[in-house]
Amino acid sequence: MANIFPKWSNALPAKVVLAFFVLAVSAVAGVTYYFTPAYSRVGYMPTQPVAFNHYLHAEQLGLDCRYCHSFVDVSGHSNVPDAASCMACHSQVRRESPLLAPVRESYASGMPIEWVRIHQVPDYVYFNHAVHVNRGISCVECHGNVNQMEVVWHDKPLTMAWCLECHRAPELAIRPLDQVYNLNWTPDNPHAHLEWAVEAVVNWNVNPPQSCSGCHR
Amino acid sequence: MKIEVTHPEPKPGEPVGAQYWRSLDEYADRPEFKEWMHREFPQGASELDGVNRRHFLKIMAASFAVAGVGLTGCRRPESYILPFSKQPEGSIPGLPVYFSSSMPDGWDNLPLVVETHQHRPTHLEGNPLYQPYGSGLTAQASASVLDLYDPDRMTSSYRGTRRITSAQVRDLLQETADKFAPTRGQGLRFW
Repeated sequence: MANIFPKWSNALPAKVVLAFFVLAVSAVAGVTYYFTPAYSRVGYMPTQPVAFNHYLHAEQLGLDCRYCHSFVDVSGHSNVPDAASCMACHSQVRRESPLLAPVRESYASGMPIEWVRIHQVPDYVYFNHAVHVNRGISCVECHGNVNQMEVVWHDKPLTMAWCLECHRAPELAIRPLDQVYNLNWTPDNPHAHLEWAVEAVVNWNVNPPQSCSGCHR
Repeated sequence: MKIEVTHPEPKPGEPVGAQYWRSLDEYADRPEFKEWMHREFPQGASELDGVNRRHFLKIMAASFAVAGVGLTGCRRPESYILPFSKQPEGSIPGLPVYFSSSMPDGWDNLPLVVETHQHRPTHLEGNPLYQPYGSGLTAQASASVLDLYDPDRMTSSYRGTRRITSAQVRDLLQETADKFAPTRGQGLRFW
């Protein structure tokens, strides 16, 4: 009787298993990399209606974050400045600049400037700016070095795992309250700072929630 | 044994039961209706112009495949932040603003503290500064904040049953103000 299956079919089951394994691994790796916020959000750098340069204003000119984002330490929502805030300086400085035309127009017409939102947590996540900055969590922890950005981009993934990293070990992110808005700050003595931070977490009663209802209210 | 029963075809002229009709068109037996019945579905529904069924399925399969490829390009839609042109004083985005107000309820004036979010009233409480009521409020007054979001709420001003413009309302109020100016508002009541 002739062989029904040729000889090469002996290796076939092993090959099928191997191929399946390779496919599965690459699918999982692909989804993990391309479908997670670390890839899909980080680096998001939309074109804004006004080419506001954070590097120029915050770093070179040394404006405090709170000159424009003025309610970040009193409200859960960090405000984007009104056109009048821009005009406070730009009614004197660079009055005729074409880059500022939308600002002047908004100031004159009363219509808002349509800034493109970059950082957005989902509706089912509660985030309060004030409680973070008032307990020594700097802007830089979530927004990156915005003072170095000529065009702002999404720098951190803002995933839940990423939030929890810090909520589990707040002493690694906490800093003296007078350095919260100094995005370039690094401790002179990291070891001494860590000792201070561990104490500060206790003394300031920093108790970041790790339960679901802390953020998903 | 199997018995086959076949009804004989009704002979012409033989009554075959009540003739029912389902619409006036059918009863009138109009030619347009006959044509419509014949086609069973309204014009254009029974066929695709220029595309047969096989072609249609091919196109759909291809578009689903392309949609699958395109998933990697899916991003959340662009959204905007619209700050004020000139931020009103005392209004902080994200924090409620409380106003004291009052509300006539037919018996007397209820003192209120109104919670507003971005200038929209959301909640009413009694004003604790008014001792007799001790920050109390009636259920009706408490629920009345919902009237502001009632879709059936009046959208313009009326005098009697006549719609009037807001300019006319201003004129009317000015008239009233002029009329009651000599007595400094004595005898005037709004409700």
